[in-house]
Amino acid sequence: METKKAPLSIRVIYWLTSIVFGLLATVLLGAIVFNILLYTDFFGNDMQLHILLPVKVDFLEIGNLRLNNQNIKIELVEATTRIHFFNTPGFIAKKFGIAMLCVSLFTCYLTWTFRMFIKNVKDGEIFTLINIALLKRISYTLIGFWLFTVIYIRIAYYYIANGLEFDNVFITDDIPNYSGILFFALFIWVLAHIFGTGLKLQQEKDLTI
Amino acid sequence: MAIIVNLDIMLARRKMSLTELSERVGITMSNLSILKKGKAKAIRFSTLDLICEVLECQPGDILEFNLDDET
Repeated sequence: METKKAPLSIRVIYWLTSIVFGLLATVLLGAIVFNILLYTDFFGNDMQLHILLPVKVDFLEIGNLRLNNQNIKIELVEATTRIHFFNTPGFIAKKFGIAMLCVSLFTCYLTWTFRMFIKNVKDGEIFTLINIALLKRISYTLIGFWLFTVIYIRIAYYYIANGLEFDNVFITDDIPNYSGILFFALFIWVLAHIFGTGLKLQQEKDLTI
Repeated sequence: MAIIVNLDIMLARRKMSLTELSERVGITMSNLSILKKGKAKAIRFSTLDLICEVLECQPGDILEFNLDDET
């Protein structure tokens, strides 16, 4: 039977996903090694750790914006920032090491599952039970990732952001809920059900002589 | 399904094998086998037309409605 070659865009997405998966697998491996070193106290308390602050900070900085040969007076009022620990205590580093490992695991697993899905699409196997299962798996993993992110952000907020003391910088109370991840997960879940209907139509078509 | 496919009966009457029918109507053996076993969900008019032409019969000779066979 003659097999139709997949469109270029699908093949490009497959190649890119393969490359991204390779990179994420390397990051995951790095995260595992990093955690092993952390738990064997390889770094001690000398590690300089940069951690993204989960909430924005309010600060007032007056400046200028040069636009169309005009100087417009502006004020910076809110920013995303990072915490730099000069000497990271081991117990903090271990917690963030575990968080890093979890994020690496989630992203690696998601990319791997998506790669399998796009490979099936590339090979012309679109409306199949395997693809429906893969889409549902992506959706559930995204929901898990969203839950993890929300819990992590709240823990980080209450244990880190609440304890920060600065003279001119204030923490805003807007804790992000990353609802975009949840909506995307639900969209994928709906897509899985659409694929289920597609599979039924495909089976009917295959049994039409 | 209440529709019964009597393709095997017509083939026996015409003393024709499924392979020969397949070659003459240009439909694969696997598809004709699905049709013969009654596993097909639908049949195209074009397919029915070809089969009737080759077997020199009416659609009613191949398809039969039997309410007792409904599952």
